[in-house]
Amino acid sequence: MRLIYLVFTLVFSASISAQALNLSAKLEQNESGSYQRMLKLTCESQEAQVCQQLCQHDSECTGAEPLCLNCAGTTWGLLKTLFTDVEKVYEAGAKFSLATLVEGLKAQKFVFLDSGSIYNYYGPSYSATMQSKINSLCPNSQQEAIMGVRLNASRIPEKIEFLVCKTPGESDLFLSIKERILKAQSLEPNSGTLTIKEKP
Amino acid sequence: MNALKVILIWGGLIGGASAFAGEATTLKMTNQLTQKGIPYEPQTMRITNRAQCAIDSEFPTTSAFIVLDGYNAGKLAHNIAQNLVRDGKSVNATEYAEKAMSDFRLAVAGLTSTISDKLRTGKLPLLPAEYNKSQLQTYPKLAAQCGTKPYCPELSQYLQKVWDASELPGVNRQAQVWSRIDNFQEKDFSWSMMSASSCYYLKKFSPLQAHLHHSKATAPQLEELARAYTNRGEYIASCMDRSSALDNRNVALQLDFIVAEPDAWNKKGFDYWNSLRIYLSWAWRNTNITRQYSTHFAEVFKSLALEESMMFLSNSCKSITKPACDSEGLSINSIRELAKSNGKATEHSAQTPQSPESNLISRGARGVNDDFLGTRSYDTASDWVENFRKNYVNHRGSMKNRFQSSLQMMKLINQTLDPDQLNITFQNLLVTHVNSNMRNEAYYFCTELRLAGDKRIDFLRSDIDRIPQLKSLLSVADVSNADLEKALNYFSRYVDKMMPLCESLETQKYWQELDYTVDKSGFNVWAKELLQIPVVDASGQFINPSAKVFGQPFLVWRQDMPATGDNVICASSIDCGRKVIKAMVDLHAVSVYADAFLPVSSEAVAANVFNPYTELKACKIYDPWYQTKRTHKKFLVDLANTAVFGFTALPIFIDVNFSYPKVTSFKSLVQQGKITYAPNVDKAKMEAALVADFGPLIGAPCAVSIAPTSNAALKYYAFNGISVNYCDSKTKNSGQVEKPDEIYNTGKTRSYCGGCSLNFISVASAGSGIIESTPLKGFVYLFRAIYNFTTGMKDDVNIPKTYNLNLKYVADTYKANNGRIPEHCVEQLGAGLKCFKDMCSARVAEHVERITGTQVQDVFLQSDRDTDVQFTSGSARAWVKTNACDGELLLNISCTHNGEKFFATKPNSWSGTKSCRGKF
Repeated sequence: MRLIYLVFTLVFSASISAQALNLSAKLEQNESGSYQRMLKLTCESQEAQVCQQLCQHDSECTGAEPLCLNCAGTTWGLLKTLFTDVEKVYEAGAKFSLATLVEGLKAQKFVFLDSGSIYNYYGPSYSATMQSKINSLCPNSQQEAIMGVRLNASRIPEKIEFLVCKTPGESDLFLSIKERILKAQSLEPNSGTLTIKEKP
Repeated sequence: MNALKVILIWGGLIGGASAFAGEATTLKMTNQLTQKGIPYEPQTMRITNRAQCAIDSEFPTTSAFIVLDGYNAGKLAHNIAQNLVRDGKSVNATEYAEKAMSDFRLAVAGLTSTISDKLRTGKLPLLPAEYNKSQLQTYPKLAAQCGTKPYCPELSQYLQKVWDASELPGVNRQAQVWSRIDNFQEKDFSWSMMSASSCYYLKKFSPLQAHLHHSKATAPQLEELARAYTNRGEYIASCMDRSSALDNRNVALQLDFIVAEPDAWNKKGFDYWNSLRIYLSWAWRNTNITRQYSTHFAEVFKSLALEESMMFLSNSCKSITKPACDSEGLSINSIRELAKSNGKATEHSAQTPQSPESNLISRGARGVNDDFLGTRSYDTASDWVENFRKNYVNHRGSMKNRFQSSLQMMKLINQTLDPDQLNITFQNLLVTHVNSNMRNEAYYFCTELRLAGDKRIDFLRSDIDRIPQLKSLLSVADVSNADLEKALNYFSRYVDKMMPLCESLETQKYWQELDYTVDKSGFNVWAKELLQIPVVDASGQFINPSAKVFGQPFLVWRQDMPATGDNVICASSIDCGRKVIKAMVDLHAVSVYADAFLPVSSEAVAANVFNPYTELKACKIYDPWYQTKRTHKKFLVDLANTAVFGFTALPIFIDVNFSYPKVTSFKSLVQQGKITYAPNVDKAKMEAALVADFGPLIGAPCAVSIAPTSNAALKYYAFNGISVNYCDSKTKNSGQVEKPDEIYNTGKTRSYCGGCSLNFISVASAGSGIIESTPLKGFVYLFRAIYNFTTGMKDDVNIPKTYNLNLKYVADTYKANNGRIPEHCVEQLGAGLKCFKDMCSARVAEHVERITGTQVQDVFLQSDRDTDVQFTSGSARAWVKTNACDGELLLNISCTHNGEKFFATKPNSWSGTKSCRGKF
């Protein structure tokens, strides 16, 4: 089983090449002195249209991360899951649609979470354990991952939509995220041995 | 000075003026606000006894505590600091956290005061608490449309329009703009009913909160109060005080309103508090007012879980939300148990809690205004808040975890395994593992399945079946009605599938092996609670059974990771089954008090914690007028009615006018067909088995007798029946009153004994197979409740009594009498008057001062009938010395000795000595 997984991971990794984009978030003080998270998307020439669509600029777009209602607290079960159990509940899927990325960034529908997020109320800031759990969703667990979470019309976090896997010096990889499908083990009658039983 | 200190610390720490450059401007603004808009000087106090306290609960409070928990703000700033450190900045995370907590307190206080002033001056309209009774057109529609959906965008847009209008220059209640937004009328503004508001930071609970500590005023207590008032700086500070000595992690602010028109306030006060809470939550996120109080965190504060970080508590017997005998009100107000200082476990932590109404009754009669929440047990108000918040947050965290884990469990089991698969794998295990471990696991499973899923025994099943219908759970974050329906549907199918398997094990005598005894320690805690098996070991440690693994763990999160630790979801299919059952039991358990802990709401929680009679009165369990207007019999009928109608689980109800105090036999109601059964109950079987006679309830609670016809098939799980037997004695009272607040009971005491012996199995078999709920559970709780309540009631009866104190008068009297309050002043001060020779003189002084605006220095009363005799009661001439003239005013009055009936002539008929004559 582990071998199958390893093969799958290798194939999966090889088949997904990074998009020529880099997304970063940084705390800055606005003109009134108040701290605010600013997002920056840089586009290499082959993805210049992404930045063009987002901010009519070829190489770079910046904007404030939207207000995430009640995220500075423990209100939302979704955030708890993302900060504590994300690696169990979710798994990475195919490449994330850049059109959806642009639409969400433009409409200020995405917040980005990792262990250093100001909304991390479930462990120490920049907790290595927490970050390694998030990173484990990337094809290469050495990559640093950031979770892209969609907000609803009330600015409440609705679902994790994609993962940004970052390798220093390289373009980021944007992957969609889906819930894991679990499979139970069962006993055949009187056998006492374990077999894999798939859910139909 | 303190402000300067703060600037220096922060400027120095972050290495330059740039980081906190806006601070000086902010401080200047807030200091102006402190001096100008937010005075802090307590003015009046209302001390009440129990009966009056119960009556007061129906009216809106004029004073509330805002309890703030700075944790979320502190953690936010700490995280920010860690980010800055990563970016190479030199910042101290701890000091960032402290700064943010201080800013948070100032921002909440400042924004609250801003909104309060807008409401008070008619710049913002009131939003009706009972919106469905409002004449407004848009707001009720939006409120209904948004329902339990928090932070609803449509409502937010409406509030934006209202707020924008309130910011227009010169706007007032008559502005045209209001009718363009909604059907607002002048009566929707509170512009005349309040004259001022004030906000204090509470350093320590003191005699300035004597109304929470005493139910009557005495001279020594008033002396304490006078001292505290004189030295009030030790106990309170301004809400906007920036002193570094003030704790900002756990804060109690006291918000007081001075009401100019009490009648108007009584009508609109609940709307006022409702409006304040709604506007506060909205404005926190959608305006930039908090920038005035926090230059650096204002923007990120908008993401703060504000409602999670604060609560409003009524600071009196009066209420902050309109009392209602509903599950939401009972649940929210039950959090008062968490504010107690005794550290005892409350009903909220029970694995299978009783309903709030059952707990309400079973706690029985209680004292009020005797500091039962232990505010004075702590050195500081912050310590009290810390204890309360710690208990509250712990319970909330535990409930959230149970709720989320349960939903997650049900969701993933639903997606992964159908009941058939679980059934088959269970059978496989039984076949392949024939040993005591397996017998134990199967025993736990089958017992827990029966307790939670068996409709006939119905310990929990009907409660579980109602889960998807509960409004309280639908307002919880991250859950939809469909999720709950799916969970219940799966559970039902699972029970239907597994119950026959358990029954076949019983018939096969699977557990009746030689030398086999079940190890009771392996039950889940919730089952142990129901089965009365100890949940802790001899050393007081919780016995946490671990599930047995038979071979490889049955279900894991990730198959590419080792199948150990928290990667394991279920150790075996039996474990999965027990986790499904536990998930549903947990969902039911959290639903009982969900209203108090779980909902994500667009406004902060508001609770009436200092008056336990709020709910007792709302639910008609306690009648404050009973001593004066009702007989004891009526009271008991009230209790019976409440009990009958209060139990929603009962499949029976009375559908005729049950006019008390007529002694009505419950049995005869059954026979006459006046008791209606729920349609799916087999009436004939119920009648045969249930003989509930409420007749003797008038005088002594009833007897319920159920024929013990045990069902052999279920005998293995037989609980031998619970007996609720008690004796109750009733005193035929005739209250003898010497002083208004004292009652001596005279008369003969009668005693009754009654008993209820219930056998679960017989009741289960008495109902039909499709019965959704049986009454026995309600009765068990009910009888215990009545017993407790009536026992408590015997000891303590009251008639309503109030003391309205003017704190300045109390302090003046104390000072004028060299540090003591004379006994004769107590009654006068308690009536809100200055102290004079007697009550009638005090009434005269109050009358003259109110009309003339002068200060009365002395009053002499001369009886009309006999000028040589000192006046006590009747009509008299009053000679009044004021600071307005050298001589004395003369007016005619009539007054009974306690001042209750007072009349004085109008100023145009007043005379007096020459210098005073015609002056007024």
